[in-house]
Amino acid sequence: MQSHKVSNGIWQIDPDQKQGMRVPARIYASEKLIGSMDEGVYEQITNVACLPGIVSRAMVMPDGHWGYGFPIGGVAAFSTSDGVISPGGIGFDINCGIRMLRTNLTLEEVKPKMKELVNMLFKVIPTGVGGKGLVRLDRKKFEDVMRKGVKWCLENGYATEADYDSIEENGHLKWADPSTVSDRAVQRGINQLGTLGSGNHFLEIEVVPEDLVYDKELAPKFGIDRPDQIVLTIHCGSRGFGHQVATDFLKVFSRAMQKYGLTVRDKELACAPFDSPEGQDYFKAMACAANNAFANRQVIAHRVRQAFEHVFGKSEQELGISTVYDVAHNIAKREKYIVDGKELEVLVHRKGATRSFGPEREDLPSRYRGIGQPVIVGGSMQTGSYLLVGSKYADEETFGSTLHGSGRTMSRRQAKKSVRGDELQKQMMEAGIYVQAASMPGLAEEAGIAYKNIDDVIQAVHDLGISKKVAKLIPIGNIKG
Amino acid sequence: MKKYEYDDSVAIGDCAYHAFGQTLEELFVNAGLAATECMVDPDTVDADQEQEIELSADSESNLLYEWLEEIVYLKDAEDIFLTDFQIEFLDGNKKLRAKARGEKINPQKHGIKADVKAVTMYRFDLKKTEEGWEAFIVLDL
Repeated sequence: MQSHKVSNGIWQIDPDQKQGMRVPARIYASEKLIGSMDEGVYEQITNVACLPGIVSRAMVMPDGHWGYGFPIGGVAAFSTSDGVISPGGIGFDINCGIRMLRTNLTLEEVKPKMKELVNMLFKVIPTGVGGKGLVRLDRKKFEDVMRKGVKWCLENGYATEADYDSIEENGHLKWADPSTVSDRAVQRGINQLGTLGSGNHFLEIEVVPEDLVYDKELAPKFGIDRPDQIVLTIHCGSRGFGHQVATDFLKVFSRAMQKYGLTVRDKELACAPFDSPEGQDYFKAMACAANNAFANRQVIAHRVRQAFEHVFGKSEQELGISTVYDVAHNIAKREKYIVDGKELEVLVHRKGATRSFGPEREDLPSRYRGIGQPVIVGGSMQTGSYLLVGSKYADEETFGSTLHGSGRTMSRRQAKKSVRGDELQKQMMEAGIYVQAASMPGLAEEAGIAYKNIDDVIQAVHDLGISKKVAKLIPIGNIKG
Repeated sequence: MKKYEYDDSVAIGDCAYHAFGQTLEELFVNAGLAATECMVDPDTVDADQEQEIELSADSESNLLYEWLEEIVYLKDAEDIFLTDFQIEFLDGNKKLRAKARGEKINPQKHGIKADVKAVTMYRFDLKKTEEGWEAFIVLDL
């Protein structure tokens, strides 16, 4: 399959490259990164370009790699009047996302207590397969979580007003409807609120060295306001509940496709018209799972604050632990864009991609409306993460989207063959990163060598202008599922 | 005959594998075991609990999907790793009744690996071969 360069950082696969492509596919990458895109990216994004109602183009971010259905790093917008919705364009882990917390602490204050802190976090935050949650819920309360997300946390003492104001959609998708969710999904997730899960999910303590603050004017507005400041990132999703919602609707959509006369190139791309009973039910159920994920990260953040209070003997206010922002990177949202000179409402699917709104978007909290949305990008546990800011150019080129992480280049099994979990833990310790993990093989699967270079993928979106660098976050402590 | 073989070349963040069986029963047992092995070292699991499973679908391929999906579901809903399966097919292979044995999840005892989130339909395939049956499966990790 042939791609050609449209301009610096943009590569296009024209619709004549595969039968059935309705729009071109674009891969956003530097010269260096385009060569490392695997064949699955090309196969999968051109399949996405065949879906009914797709608008303008199918897109892959620089961290893109071979997934199922959409590639990871895939973005596509569909007309809400005659386009589709596809669970395979969102992923099973609905609203997997990342939250960033800032603190008043500095490296000097935290370093002597690092082991105590990580051990404490590892003890109080359930991780790994089968981890039972921090909050006990009956069916009615679980439905409240589905309906209200972080609003439920606010009403029940797990969140502050400031948290609620610092989350994509306030962590509260208002179109959630628990009647669209199966008993099976409830059974699978009811005991998991406040659990990290496994795989690439993590809770990381990071330092922001002064020389890695790239935008010194903007950084204080995102709470980065002192040298060697300590921040945290929490990366997890909707756990078994969201996984089951997606599984249920994949089956519903597989059956419904015939009814709507739809065919797809990959069964994982099963879809239904957005404006159909099945499409609407999934959109409402997806919102339940997304709210559950926002609440999950909130409950974990609440427990993190308590742990810090305990270890440092200071109050939450003295420690200044507050949410910078919380972004979803597996989700579909109704948003409006100018397409061919006219305003159009589209359903933007982001699978392993982050919203990257520029200034003046109404959906941003008032304190960020003048500057743009904070974009939090989780790198591998050895190389660090980034805080970026969204841009107007993203609104024009990528339906307000950017990358979500480093992007894998090596399979999990290969990573395990390359390094042992306990050796990696030791290496990281020597490099100044204290890590605790629920699974040693799981730790090895997440080694830095299994990922693209985070600096390269970030530079690609920065140079392209779909988001801009604010600061790099260097890991010093980590708990892994 | 191999029971199953992991395939590193596909969907690199996830777990892809081929499962084999001389009979459909054997294929289902091996595909189920491969799914469990993504989550835990089966040698560390004692099969001291039993789950009765009954499933139906409109094709053998969809029944295999339901079967693997059930193993993933029970991991969260019943907090159990399943390693030992006895399966019988009814209604022309459109229904199955199984006894699945395993152990409640115990992080102190079990060699836990990764959480399987779901069974994907990406390139999902079940086919009859000269030697019996073969399936291709990608699990979301």
